[in-house]
Amino acid sequence: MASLAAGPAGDGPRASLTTLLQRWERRQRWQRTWLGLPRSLLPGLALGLALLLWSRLRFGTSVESLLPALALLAGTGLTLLLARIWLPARPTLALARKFEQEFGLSERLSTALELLEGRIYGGAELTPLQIADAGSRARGVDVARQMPLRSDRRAWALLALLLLAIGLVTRLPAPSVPADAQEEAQEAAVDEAAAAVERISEELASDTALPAELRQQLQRELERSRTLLGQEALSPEEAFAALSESAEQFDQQALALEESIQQQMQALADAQQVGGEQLEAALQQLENAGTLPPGDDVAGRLEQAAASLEASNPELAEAIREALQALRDSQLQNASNAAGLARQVLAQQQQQLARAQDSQQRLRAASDQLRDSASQIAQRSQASPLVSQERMQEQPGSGGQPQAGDMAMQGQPQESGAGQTGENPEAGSLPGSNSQAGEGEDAQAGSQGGQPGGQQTGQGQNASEQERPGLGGQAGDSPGGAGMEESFAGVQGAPPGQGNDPDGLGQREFAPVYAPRRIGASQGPELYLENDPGDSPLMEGDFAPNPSGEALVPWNEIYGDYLDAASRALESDYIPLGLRDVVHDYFSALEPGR
Amino acid sequence: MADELKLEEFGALAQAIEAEVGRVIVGQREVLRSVLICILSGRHALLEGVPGLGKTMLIRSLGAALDLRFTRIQFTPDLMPADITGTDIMEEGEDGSRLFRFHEGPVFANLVLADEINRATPKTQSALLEAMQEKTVTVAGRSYPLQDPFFVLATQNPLEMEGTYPLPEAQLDRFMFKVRVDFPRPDELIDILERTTGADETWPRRVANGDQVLQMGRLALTTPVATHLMERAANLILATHPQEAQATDLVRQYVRYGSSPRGAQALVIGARVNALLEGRLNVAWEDIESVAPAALRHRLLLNFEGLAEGTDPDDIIREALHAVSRQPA
Repeated sequence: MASLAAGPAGDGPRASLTTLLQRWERRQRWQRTWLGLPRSLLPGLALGLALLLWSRLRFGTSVESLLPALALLAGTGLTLLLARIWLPARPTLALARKFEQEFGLSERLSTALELLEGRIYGGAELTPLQIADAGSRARGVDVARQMPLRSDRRAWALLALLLLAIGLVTRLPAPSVPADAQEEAQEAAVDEAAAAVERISEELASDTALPAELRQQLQRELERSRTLLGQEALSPEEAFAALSESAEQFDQQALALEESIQQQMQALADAQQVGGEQLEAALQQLENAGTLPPGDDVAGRLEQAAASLEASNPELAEAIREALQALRDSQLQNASNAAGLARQVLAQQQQQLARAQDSQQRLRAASDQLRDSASQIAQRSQASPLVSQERMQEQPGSGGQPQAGDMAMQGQPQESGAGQTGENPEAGSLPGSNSQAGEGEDAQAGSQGGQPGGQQTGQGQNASEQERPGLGGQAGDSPGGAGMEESFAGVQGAPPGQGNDPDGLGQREFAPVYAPRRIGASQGPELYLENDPGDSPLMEGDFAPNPSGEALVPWNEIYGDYLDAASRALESDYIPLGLRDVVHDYFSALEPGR
Repeated sequence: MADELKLEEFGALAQAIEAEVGRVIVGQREVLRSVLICILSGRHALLEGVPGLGKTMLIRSLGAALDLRFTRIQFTPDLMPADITGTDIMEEGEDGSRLFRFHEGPVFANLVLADEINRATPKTQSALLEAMQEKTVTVAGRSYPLQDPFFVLATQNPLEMEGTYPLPEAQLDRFMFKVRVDFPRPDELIDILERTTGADETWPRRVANGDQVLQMGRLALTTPVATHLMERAANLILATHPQEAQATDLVRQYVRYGSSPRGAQALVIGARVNALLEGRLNVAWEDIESVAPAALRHRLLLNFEGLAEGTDPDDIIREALHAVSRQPA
C-alpha cells in the first residue's frame, strides 16, 4: 500500500519515462555487445584459423596475405553482432513492456504510457497516481545491478585460445613450401630445357655443313622434344626421357658424322701416304710450273693416290688423273689447270671436313646440353616421393639409353657398366640385351659391348669413343639391365635394385628384361624372369668364347639369325600370346633397312 | 451519495476488512480475498467445499464486518421459490377490509447466503436468477427492487451429490467467482481448534458499511488496464474454446465449450479489484493470473472425456494461462 501514497505525476512524465527507457535500452545494448563480443569473433576466427591452416599447409600462403582475410572474417562477425544489437529500433511502448517484465515492474510503465497517450482511461484519482507511481518505480530501478556488464568467460577463454592458435599457426613453417619450390624448380628446369632445345634448334638450322637430311631429322627430333616439353601436364620423368632420347639421337648422329669424317680423313691420309706427303705441293708445282717435283715415280704415286681417293672423293681423283694425263700428253697448260682444279677440290674437301668436324662438335655439345638439361630435371625431382623415382626408372624409352649418359654426367667412368658386363657376361648374351642403337659399324661395336665382349668395349677402340657417354650407355644397358638400374640409382640416389620388387612381395633375384614399350606398344608390363636356381645362366646354342674381346659382327649380318630365332619362338608358342606383338614389333624396329 | 472514497481510505478499509474477518476465519486468505473481490465488484460468488470448512462462517463474518444486512437460506429440496423471494399474504385491516401484503423473503438483504444451493430444485434455484442478475424480485406481477448492495454468496457441497440438483450453466454463469474452499493446513487446523473450542467466542467488529463497499467497488473499477493486458485477457478466454486457434491441448481434448464473455468480464473486473487490493494502481498480469481460476473454472463446460477422466478445470486454466503468458509482449 506504500505506493498508493505516491505523489502526482511531475512535468513531462512521458518524456521522463521515454528518456529512462532509452537509457535502459542503451545500457542493455552495451551489455549485449560486451557479452556477445567474444562470441561474435569466435566463428570468424575459427573459420580464419581453418583457412590459415589449410592455405598454409596446402599452398604455403604467407601470413601477411592471409591476415586481411582473417580480419575480414572476424570483422564480419563483429559487424553482424553490432548490427543485430544496435540497428533494431523498438517503439517506446514495446520497450516499456520489455523492461517492466525484466525488472518486475508489473505493467506499470506500459499502463502509464498508455494513460499518458490517452489510449486507455483510468479514474481521475488513480490516473495521476498511477503515472507518478510508474515513474517513481522506474527511477528506483538499479540498472547497474539489473543489467550488469557480464562477460562470457568461456567465450573469452575460447577467443584467447583461438588467437593463440592463430599466432602459433602463423609461426609454423609452411610444409608445402619445399614441395612448391621443388615443383617450381622442376618447372624452371623444364623451361630451361625447352629454351636449350630451342637454342640448339636454331643453331642446327644455321649449320649448313650438316647434310640437309640429317639436319631435318635432328630438327624433327628437337621438335618432338620441344612439343613434349611444352605440354602442361608433363612429368619430370617424361621430360627426362624425351631429352635423353634427343641427346641419344644427337650422339648417334654425331657418331655417324664422326665416322664419316674419319673415313674421309683416313682416305685423304691414305692418299697422302700413297701419293707422297707432298701431294698438295706436287699439285701446286704442277699447277705453277707444269712439272712434277723430282722424285721416284711421282706420277705413279699420284696415280695411286687418285685410286685411293676414288671411293672417298672421286672428283679429286678424277682431277688428279686428268692432270697426270695432260702431263703425259705434254699438255702443260691442261695439266696445270687440272692440277689447280685438284688443289681446289682438295682444299674444299679439307674445308668441308673442318666444317663437318665443327658440326660434329656442335652435335656433341648439343647432346651434352640436352643431357645436362635432363640431368637438371632429374636432380630437381630428387626430393619427389619414391613412387616418382620408381616411375622415372620405369619410364619407357629411358630404359637403357639415357642412363649411360647420366652416368657420364655424374662423372662415373664408362668402365663401370662394362665391368659389370664383364662380371656377368652371360647376362649380356640374352637376346633382349642387345642395344638397338648404332647403325654404323662403330655403333654396332659399341652396342655389342653388352655382349660377352662388353669388357672389351670398356677398353675402347679409340679415345673419342671412350669419352662418349652414349656408347657407354649402349654397352651399359646390355648386361641384363643391371647397368640400367644402377645408372638411375646414381642419378637419383635411389638404392640399386629398388625396382626389383614388381609384385610387392619383397626383393628377390630377378633378371630384368628390357621390354621395349616404345616400339609400337602403348604400355606393356615390365617383365622380370626369375633366375634359375643356382645362378646358372640359361644358355642355349653354341656360344663360343670370344677371345678377341671385340664384337665386330655387323648388325645387319646377324639380324637375320635373331629374326629367325624370334620367328621360330613365335611359331612354337614359346612366346606368350600377349607378348608376340611386342617381340614382332621389336624385331621389325631393328630391321637394318629401317 | 457520500463523497467519493479516497485511495488511501480504500487501502485502509480493505486491510481492515481482511484483518477483521481474519480474526474469525483461520487461514483461507485466498478465499476471503476472492469473496471480497466479488463483493467489491458487486457480484456474486459460489463457494464450493465440503461441510465444516467455515464457508458459512466466512460469509457471516463478512456481513458483520461490513455491517450489511445478512440473511441465510438453507436450500433443501422442498424449498419453494416463495420461501426465497417472499410472497403476498392476505391481511385483514382494522376496517375489515382484506388486502395482499408482500412479505419480503430472505433474498431482501444485502448479503444473502444461499447455503447448499444445489440441494434445492431448479425451480427454486431459478428464483435467485432474477434477483442475482436484475437485482429485482417479481412476485404476482409486481417487481420489488432489492437493496443495494446485494450479494449472493452461495455454497455447495461437491461430495454429497445424492438428491442434489447441479446448477445449470446459465445460473453458474451469474456467479462471478467459483471459490474453492480447501481443507485447512495442519497449523491452521490447530489454530481453528484453539479459537473455536474455548469459552470465548470471537466475532468481527464492524469496519465498513454498505456505502463504503459500493464506493470501494466504484474506485476499484477505475483501475487502468493496459491494452496488451486486455488483449491477453481476451486471448485467455479464447484459449478456453476448443475451436479457437489459441486453444491449448487440454482445452481441445477436454472442453466442450469455453468461457462466456461474462467470464472475461469477471476476469478483468476481478483483476482490477485485486490490483487495488494489492496496492497497485494498475492491473498487472499477475492479477489476471490470480483471479483466472476462480473466474473461469465454473465456466468451462467439459466434454464427456473430461468428465469421465475427472479433469480438473484448474489444470486447463493453468495451461491456458501459461500459453498466453508466453505470447510476446
